[in-house]
Amino acid sequence: MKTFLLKLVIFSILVFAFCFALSELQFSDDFLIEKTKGTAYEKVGWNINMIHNHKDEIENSIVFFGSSYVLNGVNDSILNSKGIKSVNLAIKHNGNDLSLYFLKRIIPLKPKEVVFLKGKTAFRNLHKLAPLLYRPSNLIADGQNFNLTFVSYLFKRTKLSLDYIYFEISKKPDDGLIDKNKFGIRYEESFLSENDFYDHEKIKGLQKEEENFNLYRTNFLYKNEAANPSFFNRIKALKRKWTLKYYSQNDWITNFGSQEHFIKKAKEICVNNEILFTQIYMPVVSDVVSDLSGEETFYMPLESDAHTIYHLKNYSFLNDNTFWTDKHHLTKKGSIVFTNEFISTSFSK
Amino acid sequence: MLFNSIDFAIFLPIVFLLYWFVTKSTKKQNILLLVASYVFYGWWDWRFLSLILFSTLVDYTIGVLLSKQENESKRKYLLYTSLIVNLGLLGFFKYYNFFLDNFISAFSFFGVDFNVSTLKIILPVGISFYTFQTLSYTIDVYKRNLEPAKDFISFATFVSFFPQLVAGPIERASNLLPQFYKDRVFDRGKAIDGLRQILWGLFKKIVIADQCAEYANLIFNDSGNYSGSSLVLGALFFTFQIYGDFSGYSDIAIGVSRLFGFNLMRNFAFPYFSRDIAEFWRRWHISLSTWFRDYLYIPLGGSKGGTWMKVRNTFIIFLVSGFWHGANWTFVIWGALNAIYFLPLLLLNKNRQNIGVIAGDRFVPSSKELFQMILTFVLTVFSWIFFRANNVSHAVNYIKGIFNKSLFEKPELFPIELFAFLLIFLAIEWFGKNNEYGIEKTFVTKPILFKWAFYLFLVICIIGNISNEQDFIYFQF
Repeated sequence: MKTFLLKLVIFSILVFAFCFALSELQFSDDFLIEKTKGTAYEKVGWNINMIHNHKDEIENSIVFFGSSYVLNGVNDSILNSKGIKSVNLAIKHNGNDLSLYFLKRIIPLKPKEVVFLKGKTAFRNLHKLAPLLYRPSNLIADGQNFNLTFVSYLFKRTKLSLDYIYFEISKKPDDGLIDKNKFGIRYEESFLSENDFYDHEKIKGLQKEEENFNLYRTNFLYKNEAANPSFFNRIKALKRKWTLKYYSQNDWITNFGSQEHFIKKAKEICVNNEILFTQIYMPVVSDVVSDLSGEETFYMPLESDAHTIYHLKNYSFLNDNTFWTDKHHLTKKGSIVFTNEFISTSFSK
Repeated sequence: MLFNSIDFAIFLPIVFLLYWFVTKSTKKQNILLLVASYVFYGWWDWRFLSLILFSTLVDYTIGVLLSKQENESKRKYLLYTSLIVNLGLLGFFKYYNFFLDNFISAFSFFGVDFNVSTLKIILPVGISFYTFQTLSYTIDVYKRNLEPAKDFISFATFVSFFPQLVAGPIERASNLLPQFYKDRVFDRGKAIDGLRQILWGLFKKIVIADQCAEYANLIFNDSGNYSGSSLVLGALFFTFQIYGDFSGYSDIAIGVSRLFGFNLMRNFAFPYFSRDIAEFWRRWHISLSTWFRDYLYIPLGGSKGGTWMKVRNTFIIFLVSGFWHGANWTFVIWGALNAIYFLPLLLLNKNRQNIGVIAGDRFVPSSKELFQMILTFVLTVFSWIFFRANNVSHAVNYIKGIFNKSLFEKPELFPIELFAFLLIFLAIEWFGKNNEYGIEKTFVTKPILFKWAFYLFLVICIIGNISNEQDFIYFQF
């Protein structure tokens, strides 16, 4: 049995080492664009185009990173028209790793301030594009822990490395992919119906989800349970606390800690390059219909939070169904209203 | 839980280590396997565990009662109870809506309309497999070919044994059940062999089946817009998809069982190298074919009667086999086609002319063997069109689409990478055709570095082809 297990471990290490070595291939920008073309991540091509061909737009600008919340919500045209030089480099889906990747690429272009997204809850896993963008050694250097997420990432990266070899062998020299990807932000045309927007039962459901993320502030008791802190409720609260501690914040399973490392790394890079690092909280529909203005924070605080976090606290100005594509994303109209309010609240001085 | 998922990659080592290091006695090992099997199944939908438990309780009780009952008519009633319960559950979950739809259509044809709505029934994964497994137990005990289970835990583990629970091989109680009574000692050679078979199963599933599925789905789902040559490719891709998918699952199931010291029956024996349809059916889904042979074909009289009896029994077994795969007329036609292929061989008494392995130890088959193999393969590919099509008219249109002048045009899709993998796959299978599975003996006697380089190549191919976790096709049956 021992020999069997030993051989199995050695073979696994061999596989792992081979995958790691293969994954160290540096992918070209052409490949990144080709892989994301026609997908939800097409913005990658646009970002790369900005970095290569529009350096002046990044220099001395406020650069926004984050997920679709930022992509659809922060309207950089409005900011620029008000004299606040800025550019929105957000890409769909969550993950500080992706923001950090592009931050490192724009550092030589000397931005003035970089703004990361502050999630309602901490990010877990890695961004879906991490295997495409990051070499394993770079990812580890940026703060990724060795865990299940990393193993899964490595296998995906290995697959992409094989794809990349094939791409390099078969690509035509005059592909000229970068210039074909100028498209900017694409807003959704449709918006929430009045029925959906004002359906308070559904909103309550949404608030319940959000309450889960904020249970740490109420000793892990829901509002209705807090009114009746019985023994049974306390047992339930303990279970939730355990779940949060050993599951949600367990880096072995969820990559929670690594995501925090990426923020720290981003701050470190910004400090070293004399760039202001901040974060922005993006509202969702339940923030609009709920009276949360008295709340201290809407999100889960982290160790790494000691910096400016833009959050407007009162989002009642977004109380219009035509401002929302769905319960989490703003329409173009909504983004204009939000950005104007953001400017008047945060940049009035 | 899917074999090709990260969940299973965590689940298997945990169960393996607990099995060999923590649970020392056979009884404790059986309990662990039972719990693990229920977790494995419940991962998909825990509600349907009650069905497995119910089926287990019914058949265990009937088995015990059968062993105590000497009165033949009462024994028959007990057998009928098991048949009604098991086939009733299968019929309800799998065929209720099919029969209702056809019933309504048949009456509306005569101008009588029924206002009956179909039910939203979820088909429990693997129900066709474990139902047949428990039925074989009761029938064998009834026939006094098998002693009833000695204890409930062993029997429940036999019914729910996770490696083969959801897609077979459909084990006979006479083979698997006694293995739960015996002490299991770790056998390194067996475990290594198991791992090798798992690796080959994953290669078949992820590299062959899933990649073929991508193109087969593309072509079948939009068959009206493809040329005849592409439609041929679509059928060809599906032919390899279903083989890689199902035989890959069986390889993983058998390999995983070996890690725990169990031997499951062989389910596939290189069926696409068959020289006639009779040989194909001795090599394809062996556990189901032999099940039907033993519990349906032989009780009906087999091939012992006159010509009419042979024709009737052949059609019955193939139609039932088709219907077992799903509640759709396409499966019935697929079964009927295979019966038509098979009948001439049976009537001319040539159904057992190709018993051994094609080409024996030779590397190159004779021209006659090659011709027979290609002909059988083409017939099989043709029948798979019905198996894969959404409905009968889709299949008919698909076939019509093949036979026109666009058959000789350049196909719209021609994935060179996939063809390269298919060639490698066929070469490995051809070299290994005298063994239990493709890579059983490949490089086994070579130095370790050479051997490991080959395994590493397979692993990298698997990793390089991982897409989203794809369900195994046979889960739906």
